[in-house]
Amino acid sequence: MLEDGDGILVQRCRGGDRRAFEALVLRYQKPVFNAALRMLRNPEDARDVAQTVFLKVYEHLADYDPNFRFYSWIYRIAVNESINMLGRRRHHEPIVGDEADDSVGPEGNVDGQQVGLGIQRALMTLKPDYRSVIVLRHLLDCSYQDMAEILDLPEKTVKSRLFAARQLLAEALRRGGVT
Amino acid sequence: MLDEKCLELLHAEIDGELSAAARAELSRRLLVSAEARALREDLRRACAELDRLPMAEPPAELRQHILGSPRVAIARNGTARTGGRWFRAVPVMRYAAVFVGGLLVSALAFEASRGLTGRGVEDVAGTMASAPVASRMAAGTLRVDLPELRGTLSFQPSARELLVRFEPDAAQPAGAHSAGSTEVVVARGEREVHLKGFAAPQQAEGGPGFAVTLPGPVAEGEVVAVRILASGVLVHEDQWRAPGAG
Repeated sequence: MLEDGDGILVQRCRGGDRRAFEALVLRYQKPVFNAALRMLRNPEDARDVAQTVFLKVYEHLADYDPNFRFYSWIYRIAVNESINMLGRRRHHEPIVGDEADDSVGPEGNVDGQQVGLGIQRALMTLKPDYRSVIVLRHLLDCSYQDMAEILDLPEKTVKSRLFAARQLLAEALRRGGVT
Repeated sequence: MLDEKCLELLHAEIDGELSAAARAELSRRLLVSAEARALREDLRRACAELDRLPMAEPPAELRQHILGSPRVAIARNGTARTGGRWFRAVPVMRYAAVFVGGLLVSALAFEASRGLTGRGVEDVAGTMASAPVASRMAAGTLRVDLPELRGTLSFQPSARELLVRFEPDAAQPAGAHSAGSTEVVVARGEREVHLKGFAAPQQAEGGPGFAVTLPGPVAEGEVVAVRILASGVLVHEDQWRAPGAG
């Protein structure tokens, strides 16, 4: 995972350098948007969450603890905001299940698209806590240590959560005929 | 039912974290357990599919929405959280701000009432007809003081048009993204004009700076939107309001 320069950019950002913030946005908009997309499935919601994440980062830079890696901090905000969005959706929308937005991601050819949609459907059957560990590990390529930092959990708990999530996902994929 | 150790080995294999000894242990367990073999296959397939999922491109407008957000602009214009917190935390500063604010409001109210009711000699001399609204209006200015660009934007309304002039400061911010890549966009309703090329000083008719006219009489209280772009990205928004309306 690329981390070089984040600390310097954050420092410049704190000093009022807007270009530094723009560089952080450029660097992290893709992973943050994709994390939200896989958590939520809906591209509009994912865009809103990504926007909120960066605005929170900007407004709370003074609170950022440089002892932590910047990506851990921003991914933590992304996961939390995605879970918040799921909560808001539950309160404001009827449960629509699988007919929700399927226009997820650029899954290339038709077969690839079917598999991609199948995986996204299977992901949505998982509880958000399980979904988030899958997203962090398999999409954002985080280590167990990163995940522990992001989720503020002991590494052991992260491992057991990820193991359970993978098994549930494998079952869902098998049931859905994807694997 | 697989035990915890077996599950740990299966997941460690997927994560590529098996030592030689652990690999041997896993092989031994796979030999004797059909359940372990089946789960291993399921997990490997599922994880392979997950790892093949492509990353989607974020919407093109996402970056602009973030950087153009008033929340970013406000924090940037000197009311960042820490400063604001300090300011609000000191009672004397709060009272001083209220006092100064009160003075400003009074002064503005006075000026506005003069604009509405009072009329200068030059407005009535030589004619009994009512002067066009715009002719009574004073020019206004907006100060641009950004890390990308510094200067003064002035608005000169007349009976036929609005003259907008931007005068860049002699000393501009240093760096690749400074004055040369910035532009000032002025919008009246649907019509907007762009002022740019500030790196090369030029003379506009009637004075220094960069000038442009927006046709049509200026109504009292009309709002003219101003946006500053740096390398095509919105970095600041402001507005000028023609005097004379409440």
